[in-house]
Amino acid sequence: MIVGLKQLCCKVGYAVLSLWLAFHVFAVFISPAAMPPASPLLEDGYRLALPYNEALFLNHGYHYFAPDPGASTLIAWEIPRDGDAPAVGRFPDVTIRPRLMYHRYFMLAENVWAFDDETQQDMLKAYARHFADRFGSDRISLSRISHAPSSMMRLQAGGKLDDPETFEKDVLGDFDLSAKLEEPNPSVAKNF
Amino acid sequence: MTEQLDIHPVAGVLTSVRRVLEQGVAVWHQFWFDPLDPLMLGMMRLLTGWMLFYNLLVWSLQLEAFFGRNGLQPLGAVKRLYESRFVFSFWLWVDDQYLWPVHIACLFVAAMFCIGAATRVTSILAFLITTSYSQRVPVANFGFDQVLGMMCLYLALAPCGAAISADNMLRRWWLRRRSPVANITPVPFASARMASRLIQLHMCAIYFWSGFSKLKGPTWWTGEAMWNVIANQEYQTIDLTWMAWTPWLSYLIAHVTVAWEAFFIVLVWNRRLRPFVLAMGVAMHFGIGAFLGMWTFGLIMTFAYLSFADPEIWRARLLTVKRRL
Repeated sequence: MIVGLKQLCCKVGYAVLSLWLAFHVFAVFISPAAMPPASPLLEDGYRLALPYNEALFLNHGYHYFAPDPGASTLIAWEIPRDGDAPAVGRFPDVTIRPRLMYHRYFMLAENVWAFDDETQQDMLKAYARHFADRFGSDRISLSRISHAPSSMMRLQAGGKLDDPETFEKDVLGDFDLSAKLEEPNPSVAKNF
Repeated sequence: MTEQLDIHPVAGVLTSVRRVLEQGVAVWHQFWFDPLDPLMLGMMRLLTGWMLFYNLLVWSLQLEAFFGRNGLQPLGAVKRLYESRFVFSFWLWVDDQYLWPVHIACLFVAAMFCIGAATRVTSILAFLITTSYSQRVPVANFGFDQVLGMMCLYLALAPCGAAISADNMLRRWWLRRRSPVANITPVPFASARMASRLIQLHMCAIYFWSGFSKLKGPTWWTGEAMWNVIANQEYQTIDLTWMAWTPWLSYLIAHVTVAWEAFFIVLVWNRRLRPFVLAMGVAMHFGIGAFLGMWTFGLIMTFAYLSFADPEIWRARLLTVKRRL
């Protein structure tokens, strides 16, 4: 009786494990499939696997340098200073070391545009505060810089990768950071 | 007589279907659960653990700036982004005053995972740590985080502490202490096969989509895409702009990259082609590391290649090296 029950449990366990493996492989393959353009069928499949993929941090597109590698994005900041030239800078900045940290800043400039408007605004404000704090300032302006790769022809004609014509600046606006920051939630700290 | 003629074909079909199903089940079982020496998983754990530790070490440089409540990724904005989504990150519940204690604990766990100490527990914690860090700073993520998360997930499912680990050294020492003639030959695991297969299939998915997504872009067809990567100053670490005078080379690299990525899913399963397919991948990822400065991404991708290696061959190689030493 016990042996029979054990065998049944093994068989059920094996079937459940096999079903999970099949679903997992489906989820891994379907996640990037819904990147546009995609059919409604692929989108439905993506939605089916979405909670699972999100929970396991598998919700990725794997579209590396695709569909077309183009201009990279930088964010420039300018802080006005009384009786002095404004402090200026931009990121990513090659002086950021190690390279992994440089890439983190690079992604802050590149990826933020893929999020919804509200998140974009929150993130840009956070960037503004981060750099303004370095100079103890409440005011800062940010710009989005698009840096296009120089063509082969430009290089052959004596051009460089950092020619001014390859940069395109788009002013994002001035930020007034005098408003109060979000306070830590005491209950969270207490319950930790 | 008539009845027999009616019954026999049906029985024959049923027998054939049953045989096909049984063969299918056997092939499925062999593919996923044929016991495997965990040696390569041990190597992958060691290398992935080292990469996880390094990642956390680099986060230490700007922990408050990225993970603080009002840092570059404000907690409120990230929490709102994840509303009604199934996203886990313990950092969403950690207040600023506990940033450093939690981070140091994570570094300790990553080091334990790397050396293979208490691996059954630390491998699961390593996965939770990887996903928690990545999900807390969604804008700062890139391919490296995705592949690190994938590796930690599968290593958490595998007996990755059964080889090249402190756990295994301890087990061997204990067995020898109890009996000097104890059998300490490595034990193959069905779960080792399963985890290796999951890594292999996941790598196939990554390259399949990376290759096919490039086919959506005209510049990968015209060959200009590779030049656009080379001429991207923000990625560049070594100057390759001399290729402007040998355009055919960048076109060739673009076409070979797309073809290799798109067909990896087929070619890598062929035993004869596998070494060449993987060698090309190593060359590509080392190129990404050297020329685009993404060593972390390049290395973690090549670490996953160990899932395609034969542990018996590597165990014999390691024994040869050990004897010579």
